[in-house]
Amino acid sequence: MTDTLLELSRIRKEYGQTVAVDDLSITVSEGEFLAIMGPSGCGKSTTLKMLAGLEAPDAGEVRYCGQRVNELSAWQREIPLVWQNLALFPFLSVRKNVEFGLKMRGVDSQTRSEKAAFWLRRLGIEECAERNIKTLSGGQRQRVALARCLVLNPKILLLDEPLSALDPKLRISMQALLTGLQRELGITFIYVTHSQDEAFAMADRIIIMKDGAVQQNASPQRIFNNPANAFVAEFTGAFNLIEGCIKSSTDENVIASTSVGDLCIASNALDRPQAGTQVLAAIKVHGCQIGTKSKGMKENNQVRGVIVGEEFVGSRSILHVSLTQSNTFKVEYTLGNEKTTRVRVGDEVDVFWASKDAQLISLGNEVMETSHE
Amino acid sequence: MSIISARSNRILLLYYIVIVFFLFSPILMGFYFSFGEQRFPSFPIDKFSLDWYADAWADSKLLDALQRSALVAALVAPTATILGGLGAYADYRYRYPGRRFALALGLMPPTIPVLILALAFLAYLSELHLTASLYGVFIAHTVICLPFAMALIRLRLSQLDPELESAAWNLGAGEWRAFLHIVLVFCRPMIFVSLMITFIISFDEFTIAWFVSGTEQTLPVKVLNMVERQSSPVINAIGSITSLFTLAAILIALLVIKRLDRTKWHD
Repeated sequence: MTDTLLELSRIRKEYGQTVAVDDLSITVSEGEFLAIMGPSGCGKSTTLKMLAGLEAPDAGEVRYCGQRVNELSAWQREIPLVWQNLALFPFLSVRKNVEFGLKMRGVDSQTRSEKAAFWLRRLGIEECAERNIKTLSGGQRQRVALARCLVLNPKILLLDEPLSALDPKLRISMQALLTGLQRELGITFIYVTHSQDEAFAMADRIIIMKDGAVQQNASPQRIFNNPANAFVAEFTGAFNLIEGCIKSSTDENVIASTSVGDLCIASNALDRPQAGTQVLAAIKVHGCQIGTKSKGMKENNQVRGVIVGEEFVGSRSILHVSLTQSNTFKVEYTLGNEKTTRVRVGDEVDVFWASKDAQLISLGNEVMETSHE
Repeated sequence: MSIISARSNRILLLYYIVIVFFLFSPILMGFYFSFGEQRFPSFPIDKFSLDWYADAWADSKLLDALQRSALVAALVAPTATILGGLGAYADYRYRYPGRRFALALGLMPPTIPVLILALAFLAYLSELHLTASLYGVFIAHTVICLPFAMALIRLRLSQLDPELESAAWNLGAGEWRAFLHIVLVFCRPMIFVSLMITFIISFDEFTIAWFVSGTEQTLPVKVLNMVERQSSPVINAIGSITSLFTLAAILIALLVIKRLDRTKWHD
């Protein structure tokens, strides 16, 4: 069990009338890669700034190793931040940028130079050392920003959407670099992003935020398998959602009547919802298939719809199948798959899935689970 | 090539040269005639001589006035730059009640007709018994130069991403050190420009000095004095030197500002 390194306790932050963060409590353990994810304006950058001491919370405590640090100013905190816009000093060379934090700590020139050289080499940019940062590519600048922080040997590193400005290929390689570094150095990374792919690819644990409140705080796997509420389910993009009303339930399954017919949904372990309850069914996109139902198939849900769109994602595509006027399901479709015949936009198809790939979510946005593992 | 044709470009250029020549011809004439030997010069000059420059150099009262102008300007430049610069920084970094008013106040002096300013200073400084002294000139000049310093540094600060200061804090620099190592370093070229421009403004300033300096005459005041009493080409010599000096200073300032674009950082 690793120690709690950093803790936000009941933090509230307002900007005039707007509440940016509301009653937020987060714990961060040593050595973990934590991602804070959410749509624009959800309060994730504000949270990061409060951790760094660049913003002060209106209520609540920030604790570092158990000690309250609200009153510590930004320059006393030793929690460096990799900025979204990098914030490199344009009038300093690469090397002097990297050395800046050390210089502020009073480290002598020789040691500074050695440490900077080490990190520049480690990140593969040592030949840029004396260059002006304007002459560097986006990826190189990213690394300078990283080196500038890592040279300070921090326990915690904050990253504010650092990869958002990079092209996809570079983003993937930077992601690999970051995860590799984090594992090797054992530094706690707190990584803010609005990209679900990045968070799922890199983090040990993800906190999803909306309107200043935590929606779910769990590992990527758990979020993917058991979204806490409708917002999370929708945000991951991995679920098809449809409203329904409970008809009956057994130990294994629940039957809900929806606008596309009666659906069979796997029961959540403890809850046995009453008949008549309004619910939301979340069906994994991954579990949906199109084609014709054959005998002996495990899938026991089937609806008919029309293909209205197709998204290419390499060797597979995502089909958008319109079931009713207001319900469109996403279905994964792999080209070259023997089971499925070639389909096109405009075709009428059957979509089917097994009840185990569907689950119930409460209709409201309240969080059903906040535990994390 | 731009939409404007090469031919109309040439016409525009010619027009521009004519206008500039027209504006500068008094100065150019003064420059030309400062090298003439005769007291009442005619065009063209028959004999060239540097006598008038020698005469100017020999006039001790003139040199005293020059010294006073230089002294005041040398004190006004850093004072106006520091006060104006700090005012610009405050406006850049903070939000406070009266911010807009303070900014307007700081940038206001050039909008007031200089004669009115001069009379106002005369009235105010005489209450403080600072008229007929260089202290009074120093104060008045600082006030009129401050807006220029403020505007120049404000311009440079607008090119500075506010996140850079925050980044410096985050990396362990306290507010003062971040200011020193980031803001000041970034503004350094413009601080240099501000020092030069404010120096020139103070050095060349006539009206207020004329009202306020009394017997402690600055150079422009002394020159008017000479013009009133005698019409000597020595004045041409003085004018040529100060014009060259002013022109050189402004050119250097402009070159530095042009170079600044290269270190601009915007997002």
